[in-house]
Amino acid sequence: MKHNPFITNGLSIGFGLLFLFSLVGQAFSGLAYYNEQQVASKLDEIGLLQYVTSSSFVVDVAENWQSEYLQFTLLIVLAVWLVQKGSPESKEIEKRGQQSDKEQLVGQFAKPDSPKWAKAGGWRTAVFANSLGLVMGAIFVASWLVQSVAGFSAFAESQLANLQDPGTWTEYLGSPEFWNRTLQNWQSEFLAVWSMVILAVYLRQRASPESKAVGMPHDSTGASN
Amino acid sequence: MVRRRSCTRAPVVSAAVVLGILALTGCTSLNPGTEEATTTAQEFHSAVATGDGATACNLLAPSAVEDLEDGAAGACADELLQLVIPGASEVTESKAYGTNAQVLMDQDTVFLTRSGDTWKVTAAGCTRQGERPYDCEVEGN
Repeated sequence: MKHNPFITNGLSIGFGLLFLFSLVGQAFSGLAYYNEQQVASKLDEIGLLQYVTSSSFVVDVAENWQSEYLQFTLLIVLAVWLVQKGSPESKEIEKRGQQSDKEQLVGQFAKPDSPKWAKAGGWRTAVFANSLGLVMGAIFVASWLVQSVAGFSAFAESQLANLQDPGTWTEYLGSPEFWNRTLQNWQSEFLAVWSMVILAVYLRQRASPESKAVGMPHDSTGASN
Repeated sequence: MVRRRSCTRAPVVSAAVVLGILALTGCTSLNPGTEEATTTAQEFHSAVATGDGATACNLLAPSAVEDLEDGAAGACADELLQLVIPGASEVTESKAYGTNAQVLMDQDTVFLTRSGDTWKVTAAGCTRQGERPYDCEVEGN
């Protein structure tokens, strides 16, 4: 049966809109806050375009992006080997590790409708078999790099406002400011994953694929709705 | 169930790349470069050196003018010329980040802030104090 594409893409559309609304909200609230400080210093207010291309906006966006992509990259990759008894975020205890080609439907075990690179074998299958972690990891690294560059620019700007030397980017990489921004985001992401992994053992959300079925036993691992 | 992950990742990747390029190239509208800041710092020092207090005060940020006048409106030029600001003309290095800039000159370090389309001097006659803020003759809050 053919469904309306708005239904079959509901999750990506829904979260895409939530992302856009949040980003726009961040831009306007950030601009208002920035201009409050400008007015307090008797300086001209700036416009939206100027603000969204400023280092202070870019670093605020990038520092949150990098931690989210790190969270998902680690969850995707570590869950290959680490398991959690009873958690729907984990696969079955016996399935930890890379699993066989037969279980993963690659090479000669690929199905007719398997992706091309799953059938291809060699480096293409090896790349495709790790593509989700690789792409998520690459976005994490890129976002963290952007955070470091924009963060340095914003830090240097505040240093100059305080009549201090701005320093260099490499000095900034070892600064408490950079690591404080980084680690305060990482700790919250890791806590969220840890909570999800553990709470989902004992708690349920009816009909959510992130939960086991309501009646599933607590020690049932790898089950989902 | 076979879950097809089509092109939903593409916009995220594109956005990250655009954001990265913007930040890495320093191609932001709040990083207008250092040339204008350098010119303003030189004009300020030139005005002070020739005793043109009015022109020098026009190049100061409002907070620096207020600090100089200390409630006596219009006293900026006289107050400024009474200060001991080392004469400087050669620029050795300029740095601009966002709305702030620092111009290192042969005998002075000048700090500036961007207001609208122009740079304004927030501090001049500054002496380095190590990690602590520079000690400046002219200094806006």
